[in-house]
Amino acid sequence: MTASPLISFLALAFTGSTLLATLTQCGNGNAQSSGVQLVTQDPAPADLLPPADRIKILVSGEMQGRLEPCGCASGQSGGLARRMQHIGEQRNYDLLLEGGDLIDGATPLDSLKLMAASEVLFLMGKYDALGVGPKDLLLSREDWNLFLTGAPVVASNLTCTDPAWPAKPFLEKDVRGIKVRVASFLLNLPESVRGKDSTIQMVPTATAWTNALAGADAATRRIVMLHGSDTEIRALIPQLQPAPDLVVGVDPGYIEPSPVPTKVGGVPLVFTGTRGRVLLDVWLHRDANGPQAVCELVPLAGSKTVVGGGGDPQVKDRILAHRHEVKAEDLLTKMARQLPTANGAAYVGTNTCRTCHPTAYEAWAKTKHAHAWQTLVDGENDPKRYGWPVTAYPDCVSCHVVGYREQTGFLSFEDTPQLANVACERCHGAGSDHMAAPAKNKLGLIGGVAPSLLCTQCHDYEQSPTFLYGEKWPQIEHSCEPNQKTKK
Amino acid sequence: MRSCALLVLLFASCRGDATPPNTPQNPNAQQAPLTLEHDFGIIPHGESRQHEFVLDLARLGEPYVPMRVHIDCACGHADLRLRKADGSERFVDSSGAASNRPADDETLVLRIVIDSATREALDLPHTQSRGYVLLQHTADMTGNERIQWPMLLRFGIDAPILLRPLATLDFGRVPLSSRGHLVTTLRGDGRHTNATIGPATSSDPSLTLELVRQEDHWLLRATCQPTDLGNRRATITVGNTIVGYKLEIAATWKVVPDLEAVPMAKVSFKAPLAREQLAEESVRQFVMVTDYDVRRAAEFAVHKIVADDGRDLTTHFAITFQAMPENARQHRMFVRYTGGLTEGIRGAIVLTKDGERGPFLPIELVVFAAK
Repeated sequence: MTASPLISFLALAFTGSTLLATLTQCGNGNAQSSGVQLVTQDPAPADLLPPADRIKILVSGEMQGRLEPCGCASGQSGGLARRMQHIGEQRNYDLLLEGGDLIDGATPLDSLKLMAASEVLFLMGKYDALGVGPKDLLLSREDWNLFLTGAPVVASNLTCTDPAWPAKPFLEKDVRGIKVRVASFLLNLPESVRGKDSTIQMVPTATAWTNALAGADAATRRIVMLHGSDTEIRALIPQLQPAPDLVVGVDPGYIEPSPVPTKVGGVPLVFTGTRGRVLLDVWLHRDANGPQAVCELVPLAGSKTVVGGGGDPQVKDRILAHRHEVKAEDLLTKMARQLPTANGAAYVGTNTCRTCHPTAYEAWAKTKHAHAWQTLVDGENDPKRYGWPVTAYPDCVSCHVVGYREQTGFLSFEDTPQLANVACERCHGAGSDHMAAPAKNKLGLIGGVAPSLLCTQCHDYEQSPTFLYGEKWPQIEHSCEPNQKTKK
Repeated sequence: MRSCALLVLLFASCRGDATPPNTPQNPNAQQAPLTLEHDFGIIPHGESRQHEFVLDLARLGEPYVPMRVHIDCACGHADLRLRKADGSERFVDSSGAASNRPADDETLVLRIVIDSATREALDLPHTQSRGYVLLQHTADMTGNERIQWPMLLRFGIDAPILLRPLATLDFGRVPLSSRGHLVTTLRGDGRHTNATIGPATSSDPSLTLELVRQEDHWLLRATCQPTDLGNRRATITVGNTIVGYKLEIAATWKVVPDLEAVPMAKVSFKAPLAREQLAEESVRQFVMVTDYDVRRAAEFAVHKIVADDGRDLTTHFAITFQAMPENARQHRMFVRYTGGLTEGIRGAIVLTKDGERGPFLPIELVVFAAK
């Protein structure tokens, strides 16, 4: 991707400034608002006061490219705009931690998402540390380095031969006289960056932990973000000596953080959750029994009556700019037809299917699936709903057409109108082989997956929180023609 | 086999089995069949409802450890707890450790709370929401073969006062020179047509309210006066005569300066110091500046360009402004080096709107010498 002026601007703006600014401009040292200092007429007993060394941390991670809720369903939670509004309202965080996996792949769209997210978190916001997750490493190193140069990236057990690699083995911040050291471990490298020839190599855990704590005294608070499955994370914690004060688990299978931290070998363990729907406040302090953590969930609820669902107006503008950038760069077309079809055949379009399956076609034509593209168009034209080019945004389009990103699949409404809408081949697979030899190449469901799992590729817990296969199937039910056998 | 168990559980959740019977330990806790399903009914807005399922792990046929619970709806919360007959409890800690299996004198309770107060004061039709309990087989050391025990919840929300068009007041940006104004209407719904509404109070003194009675509704005028810069939130409490109903409306805004640079007030670039930059060399050296003072046309002027050591740098840089076509109040401020320096500098470009009277917008300027 050609670096745009804005990209270059960002890279320059980051250089040599953000890290220092992040580590020194706490801006959160308001003792009164952070709850450290209580003003009462009669001094409270010492054991009722919050610990003086209490640190307030905001934890999140696994954003997976969700800059904001997609808007398919009303009332979706999360999003960077609401997050930054919340941070701005609180004004008393000592440490802002983002676990990593800001994006979900290696497409040009992921590059633009990373640019927007890093600008929001590190330029408009003052995040203190960003861990490195496996998905982050999928992106081209050039883009990744460019967008995160100067950002507070930490990867304690990774080394990279690329001189522009932005990650540090640790980050340290002074919180009201308390030193806080932040480390991050990736427990499994993605396959694409493994091997002796890879520019990225893993450092043994013990060595990496020692390096991350180099020069830190016993009073320094030790926080480590661990990227892996919760089982792997729990297994690793006892190996970290001296023990951390807090472990932040970043596990893509852990959908929402728990308000109850668990302890592994006396170390508090919390999880970030995914997609940034719910954040986690953590108050961390030490007492005679070691580190103690108290947590509280921060739901980022939306609004049904506020256009865009509310949130920091400047972040909303930045994300809106991202939406327009995606259209300006025509990523919809650039990302189309990059992958093979699941069954190796070519898409033929609904009208071709109709010739032999008129009954099924008639049933389908009465469903919302048959108008899925128009739903996007309507949403785009409704300023209260979106107000940005939804029909040019790959994430949105992929659930409203047939075969987007696959060879012979949807390209654009103008070029491939027969593949607009959620039509036959979206569930049954590309039909050219079947058309050539119907008896030999029977179509079932793509990959033979269970129907509900196929549906939830789009109707997932966020996009369609009320979706139940058993209730929805009757609305789209269609069968083979009377003279054709029903496949069991 | 475990995958089969998952599927069985998954599909079982889609059927409308009857609500399970009570258990002796807790009259509210219910012995669940494999289908975890509960209808909370219509919840009055502002109230919460709680339901407990007793999960009998023996019914899964194989030894599973409960780990955690997920529900899709944003206003719900669920947890897993192990409860003794005397009422004492401990929480399942999500580790998958065998200690999270109920002891002989414990029952595993799934507790679900739907708190309608976390939502806007709007009606929600009776709807369903999914969720699941995550369990791990005791022989599974990797966590790769977990199963989900699904649940189905139904509920709706009834807000007795209709708020139109806004149930949340989001003022967006409020520049220092201005005030934010929003208006919404309130009236009792069809079952509360005689409700009287008022007074309205704000948790933040910088948000003032005026509640005016109209013919058949009330008009709420909210005005926020900018104070300190940054994001703000207030809660508006609206009194009313509906028994037991407390109406709260969230209000948010962000106070911004009249002049602002985004994404940050900084321009930095490399330039060959021995010569003047060509125009095409400076196309990427810009920052977006916005004038929010709507009392006058957007305007920007350079007040001064100074180095950190106080030197006047005005002769070394040319500053130009270009209005953004889609937003007349926003301009791109381009910086071009015009020569005369012998080493890189750090300083500031200070913009003004009204000469010496300001307001002023300092934009950090960093120039590195290109090799």
